[in-house]
Amino acid sequence: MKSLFAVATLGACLALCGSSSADEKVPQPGQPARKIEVSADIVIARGSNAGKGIDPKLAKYKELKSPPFSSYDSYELLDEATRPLEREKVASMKLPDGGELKLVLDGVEEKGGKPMRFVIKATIVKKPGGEESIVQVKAKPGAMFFVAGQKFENGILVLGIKLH
Amino acid sequence: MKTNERGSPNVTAPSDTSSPAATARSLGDERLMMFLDDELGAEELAELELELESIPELQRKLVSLEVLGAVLRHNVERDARADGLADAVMAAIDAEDAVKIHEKVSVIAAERGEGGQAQQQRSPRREQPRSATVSANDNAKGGFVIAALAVAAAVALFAWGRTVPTERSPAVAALPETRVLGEAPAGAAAALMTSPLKDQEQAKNSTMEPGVEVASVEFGSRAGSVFYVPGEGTGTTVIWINDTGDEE
Repeated sequence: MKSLFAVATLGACLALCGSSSADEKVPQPGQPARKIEVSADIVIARGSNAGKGIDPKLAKYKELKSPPFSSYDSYELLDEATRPLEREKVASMKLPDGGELKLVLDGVEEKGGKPMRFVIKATIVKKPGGEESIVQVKAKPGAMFFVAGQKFENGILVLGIKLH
Repeated sequence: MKTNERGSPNVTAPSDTSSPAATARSLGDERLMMFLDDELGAEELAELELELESIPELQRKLVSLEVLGAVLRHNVERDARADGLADAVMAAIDAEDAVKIHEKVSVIAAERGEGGQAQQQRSPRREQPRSATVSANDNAKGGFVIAALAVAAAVALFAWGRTVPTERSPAVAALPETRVLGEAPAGAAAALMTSPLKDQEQAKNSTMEPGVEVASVEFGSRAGSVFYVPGEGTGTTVIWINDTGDEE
């Protein structure tokens, strides 16, 4: 029952705690959000068990040596790009498997005028009209996340996305 | 956040099973929480597992509770690092719960993946008798843990309130729609479960605040998993799609 009490406590605290403080910047409804320039660095790689190791161009991504990526022993860089993101506008990029990556900036969490986290929605379309995977994340500036596992040429497609 | 259903007194088998939705509601969250805490008896556990296999709504609710718990733990752990007392409390909780939680997530993931192919399999973990040394119903420990969680949750919420998003927090708002768990790539889940959480120091490393939090994920008809991979700095978040390659 620990979870029950924890959740009950959480609910009680939510009711009691104020949600704003002096240094937060939360736009009021109807007030235009201040424009913050956001862009996404996108890395596209292919993972396989070809025994070739990790492409030197991907050497900085240490994660590729850890689970779940370590299920594959070889990674090669296929493409890199940067896309500017605007609120509620789709930034897209073609994927090597004929699919498409769509990114939408849903919001920016600010504190003291500085962006703390970006809220974005990433949609991976396997091919036109095909299966979609949709993920919404809250990412700190400079933090990278990966969407991977989609089958591609006897391996998998790996998408790395970093917002700044 | 839906807290009104959590106090449902109905913890026995549902009497109205005319519809999956009615069944899921009648079960209430309490049984799911007991399930997540390993507090269900063998008979109730078997019954719940059967219902989980057949009621998507119940599956979603379970996943939502798991994710909510993860969000709570994440916030608690973040603040625990800045508070010596809470740090000590959470270290004790971590040692008991971390491995159990990761195992449970993986078990659910394995059973849910691949369109239910693994649903008929029973996890060895589920069939094992409860550990003689770790009892979820230890009253003294339970009281301590509840008190600790209450304090830690208050601390976490205080800090959370200082970084309120410009919009409604998707971490909470999107939970009911979250479909997170699925079959992990071969060996990945096991490696994540067993290696980083075996000792206190590793557990602490693994609870570093992630630079990217997954608010919601929808894999369509496919399954998938979300990994928070410990590493330098904030670690890495990986959304893994279990693609069977049928479309190729």
